[in-house]
Amino acid sequence: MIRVSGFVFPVVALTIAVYMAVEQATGNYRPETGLYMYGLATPVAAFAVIQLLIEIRTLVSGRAEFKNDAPAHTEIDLTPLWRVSLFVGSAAAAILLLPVLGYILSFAAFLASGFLMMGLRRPLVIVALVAGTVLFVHLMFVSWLETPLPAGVLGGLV
Amino acid sequence: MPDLLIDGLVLMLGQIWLIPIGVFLGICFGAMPGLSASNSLAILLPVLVVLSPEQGLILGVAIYTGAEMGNSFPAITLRMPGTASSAVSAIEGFPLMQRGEGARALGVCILASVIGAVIGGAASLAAAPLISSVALNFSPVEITIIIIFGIAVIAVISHGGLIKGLMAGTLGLLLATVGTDPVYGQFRGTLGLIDLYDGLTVIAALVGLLGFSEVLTYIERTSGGERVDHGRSKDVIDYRGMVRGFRDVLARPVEWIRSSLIGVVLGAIPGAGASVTSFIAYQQSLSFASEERKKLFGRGSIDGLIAADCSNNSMVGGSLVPLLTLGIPGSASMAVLLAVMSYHGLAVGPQLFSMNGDIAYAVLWSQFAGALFIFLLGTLLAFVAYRAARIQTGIIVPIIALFCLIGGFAKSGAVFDMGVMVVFGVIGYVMKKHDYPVIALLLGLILGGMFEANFFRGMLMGFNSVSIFFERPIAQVLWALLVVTFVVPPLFRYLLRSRRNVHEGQRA
Repeated sequence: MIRVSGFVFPVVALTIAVYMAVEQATGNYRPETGLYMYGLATPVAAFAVIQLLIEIRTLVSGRAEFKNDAPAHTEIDLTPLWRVSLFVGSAAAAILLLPVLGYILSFAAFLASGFLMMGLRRPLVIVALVAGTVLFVHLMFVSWLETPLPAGVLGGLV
Repeated sequence: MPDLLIDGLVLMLGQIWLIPIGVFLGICFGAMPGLSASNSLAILLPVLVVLSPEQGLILGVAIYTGAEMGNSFPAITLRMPGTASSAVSAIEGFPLMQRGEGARALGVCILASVIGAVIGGAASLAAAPLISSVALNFSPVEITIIIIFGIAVIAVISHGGLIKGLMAGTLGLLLATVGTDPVYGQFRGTLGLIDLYDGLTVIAALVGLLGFSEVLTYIERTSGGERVDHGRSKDVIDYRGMVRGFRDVLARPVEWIRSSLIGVVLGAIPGAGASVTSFIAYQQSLSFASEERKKLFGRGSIDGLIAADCSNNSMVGGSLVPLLTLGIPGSASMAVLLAVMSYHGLAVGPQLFSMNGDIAYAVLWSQFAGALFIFLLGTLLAFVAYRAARIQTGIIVPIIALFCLIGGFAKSGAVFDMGVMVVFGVIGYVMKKHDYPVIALLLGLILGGMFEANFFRGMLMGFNSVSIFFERPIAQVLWALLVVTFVVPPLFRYLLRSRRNVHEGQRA
């Protein structure tokens, strides 16, 4: 199986290192801070490049083995990755809607979608869990710990 | 120092009501598969930071202690380890459960955990003030090198290899520079976003890396509707069986002394973790067992079970030592407590015992109270706590994810930090898939500020010359230890491999 995802972290690390170094070089920064920033960005970039080369070598040698020994057809199961991506997407949507809808509605929507994604199908159970959890969040975080979660459209009611 | 010892004890006794709550939460969280002590602490971080510093730390240590025992309950009764660290408990405890000796196995787990916690507490209470007084002689130069050492150790022992570990650690240090330069006040790496002017919120990153990433890993691994069926076992749990387990532990003092000491020593090594600790203690127990007892390993060995559970809990005390004396967390859970300390402005590092000594001692004393409560609550809850493992993952996962979202928000009150939490959650998920050590990234992120501040102070001491970092005697010793850390493990592996090849050659 081709593990392209192995490239993700080194590419992200390399991008961050290059960005920080370029920002330091092109910005109006004091030279004293340059030593520190380059001193950190350089090893990050170096390790990322080494790891990328290792991943490429693994990919190439894996492909060679694959050609020799592989069955006629190989399936890659992407369902779990789709599930993860959907879940991250639903979390992102909850965050974006939070200032507008408020914590009660956006958390309720997030939980309901989460339960459905995780395979729960009984509506009464889902409603009970959503209501119970949101109530717990309200009592524990908003009322007791005074966490300033945005009330959104329900502002004034909660 | 004796005054601080007593002040700490009095302070702890004033907050003793938190310890049974923490132990209870820890046992319940620990009993849920996929939730380790560090995940639990990350999820509860919004609560820990709102309390006073001593309350937050005492509660955190109690949760940690409870979770290290609680994760053995489903391991023994359902062959479902709460975490990798309780895998040994599953290997040795479940066969006992199948033979109708489940109560005995739980009794062994409980008392071994208590003894481990007491020995870990005693060791940390004795060692921490001594190390702290030595560490007070550390200048910014030595503190800088110690932080490098901490990250290097994690990189060396990480499963993914040295390059991945070093990349993660140095990336953490680099990400810690995002925000305002502490010396000249210039913005760095902010992408023009006003929300990043104060830097990345460490708590949001921590919750994402430890909590949300675990949620994503869980989602990938399961289909959600599962309730794991572990076949038949003779479900007999009674107090008489537990008392028999207690007697088994008391009859094996060598076992629990050795395992506890292994836990304390390995707990002090950043990144070693409970899973490594329990396996090493288990392996040592096997090595020293008589021929007759060796046959029982893998089939319900009491010695193996004691080794795993003792070392898991003594590790708590061991990991407190570098946290309280040097400001370097010995484990991911300690990283959470470090975040609590930083949040409250406690003197992180060698000054903690001189500036907030009563709090430091209160935390150390709380381990003994924690040991008492894990005995009491563990005995009461053993009958029911493992049932937490039967809760459908489809119910647990979205709720934990929601708590992670709130955790990202709680410190700054900014919705932006929820996004930071999710981003770090995805980063942590990718890292775990490919064996990058998340704790290295976390350590770099948490200690990055301290590292930069001490680096610049060191440079000032050396009149802007880096040679200062190599001239001081303590610094030279630390560099030598660093070289040993890099050289010894591969050398050891090479020697082992050579010896194995020689033996195989002789046999052929």
